[in-house]
Amino acid sequence: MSQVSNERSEFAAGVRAFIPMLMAIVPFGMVCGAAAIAAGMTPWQAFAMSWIIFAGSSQIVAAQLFASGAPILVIICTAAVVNLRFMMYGASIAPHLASLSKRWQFLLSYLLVDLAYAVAILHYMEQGERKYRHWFLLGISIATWACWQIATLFGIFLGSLIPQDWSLDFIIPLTFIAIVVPLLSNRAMLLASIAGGIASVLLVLPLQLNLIAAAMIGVSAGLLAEKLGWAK
Amino acid sequence: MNPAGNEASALIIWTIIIGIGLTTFATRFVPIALLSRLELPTWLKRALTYVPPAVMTAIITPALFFPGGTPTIALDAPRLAAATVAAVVAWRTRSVLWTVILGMGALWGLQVLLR
Repeated sequence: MSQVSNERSEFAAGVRAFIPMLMAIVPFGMVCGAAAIAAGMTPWQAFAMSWIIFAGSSQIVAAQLFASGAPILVIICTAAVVNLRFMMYGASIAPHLASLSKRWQFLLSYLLVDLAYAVAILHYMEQGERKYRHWFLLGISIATWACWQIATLFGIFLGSLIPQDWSLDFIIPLTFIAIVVPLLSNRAMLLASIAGGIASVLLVLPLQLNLIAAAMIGVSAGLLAEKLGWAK
Repeated sequence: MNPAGNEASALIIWTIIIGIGLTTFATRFVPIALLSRLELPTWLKRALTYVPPAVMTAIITPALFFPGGTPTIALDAPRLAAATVAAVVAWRTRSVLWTVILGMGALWGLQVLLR
């Protein structure tokens, strides 16, 4: 890290930190765009999803639930459960953003996503000048945002041209595996994951409530394991 | 397709998009805007820790067992095996990039072998 840090150098460092994430964001965004079209949305609706919601996993889940005819309220609630993790990210990054204006907090909140958060929180933990660190978060977030919109557009307009037997939809579970596996650092986290996974396959619930129920079962299993002292 | 049906489904889709947009923004903004002054209750913090593994795994698993979206007994062996490879890669490398590349490579390899 360079000693002299200002708005521009932090922003540029943020954009540079985004580059290794390209290969994960591009296919994920394309699959999201293609999934919305496959679910019966118009290109404009599919694109609106990617900038109004701007959260890949809930976009995918919403598209799938919409295609399967789930009620509106179930779709919105399931997406909210999928996005509950943002509360945790927000809570952990909040102390670093406390001194910023509401406008900055508004912007950085809208742009907050898994990968950018994970990289930025590590950057905040590094030594050195802290005054302009939020420009780093802005840089990596804006790069992610722009890339996401372009990738989604590619998915919307070219998704149907990609042959089915390339199995590119498999990128979604692969991306999630890459995010979830490093989290399983103790037995309580492992149990929450296994319980959520088993419940999602075995539960047959009306109105497509499976994912919400599986999430609650997984969280309960984790909390129970923690009570048993397995969170070490 | 009748126009009335299209309008109704357009209204449903926009309700879903805007509804999810607002709840998503709330989950991001509320902690950042308020937590600099307020603290989340401890039980909620503990519970939120387990949301990512529970939710993520609950999204992944059905995609491995029911690739067509419908429950079947015949699980998709290449996908399950490739996902296992990906999990090992993710654990060893902690890299999204390598997990996606080697996971897709494993899937394509198995699909060719089992064809």
